[in-house]
Amino acid sequence: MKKYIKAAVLASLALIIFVIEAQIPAIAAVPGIKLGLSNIITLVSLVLLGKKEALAILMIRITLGNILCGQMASFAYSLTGGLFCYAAMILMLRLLTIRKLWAISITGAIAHNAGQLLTAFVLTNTKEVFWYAPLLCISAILTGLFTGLCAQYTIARLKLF
Amino acid sequence: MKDKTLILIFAFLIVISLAVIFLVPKGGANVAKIYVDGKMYKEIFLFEIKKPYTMDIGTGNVLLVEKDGVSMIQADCPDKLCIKRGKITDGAYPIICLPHKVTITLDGGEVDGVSE
Repeated sequence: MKKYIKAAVLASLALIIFVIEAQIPAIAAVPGIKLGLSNIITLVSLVLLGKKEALAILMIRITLGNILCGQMASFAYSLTGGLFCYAAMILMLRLLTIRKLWAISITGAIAHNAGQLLTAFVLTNTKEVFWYAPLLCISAILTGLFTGLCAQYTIARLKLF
Repeated sequence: MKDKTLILIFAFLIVISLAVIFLVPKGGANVAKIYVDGKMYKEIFLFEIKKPYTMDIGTGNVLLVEKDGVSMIQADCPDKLCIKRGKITDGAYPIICLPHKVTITLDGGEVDGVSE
């Protein structure tokens, strides 16, 4: 029972963070550059609850988040980005363990952007979109580091409870 | 895996990305190619242009076509990133309007010896 309550709270948090972040206007002309703060919740869920719970929370955030504030195409981008990120992170969790959460977060961020870039390629059918890959990679590394550290600190605090 | 190794890997990725961004040659700007929904909508030979003109490509996007480049001046998409992109004058970094599935790229193009 306790697990459901925790999962529900985390899902709500992920949703709130996602919606708030969606209100921030894009800082560059590059599609897909954002902080990705919702990933903090995915990481926290992975560590404190488990793989299945984290996936459920992720899907809730993607579905409801895009219903609440997504535009037409954003669901496809959110979905591929989110699933690529999740897959990469659980893979890295096995290789690196929880102690290297910051690296796991960066890998997730890179995978997220890669997934979105791939979706953009499939939907627009122009290979020129891949010109943006290096920019997205650098952005992913920086934001991934930030969210990873946030997640580490959050988990450290939550474990006190 | 140690922290140091991981830091090196990510630093390496950043360096490679920067190298690609700054060192890869971008190609010329002779032809503007407009793609809508994956299919070529129009090809414009930029060097043939005498006066700049606007073009409405029907998806809610309006372009400004000039001899030295193309820019998006109007779009009814929510993020307006395509307008923010400004004018593109070389073959890299296309103008992309993801919501409308519009991509505009510049190319060296095949010039068959015709010159002004």
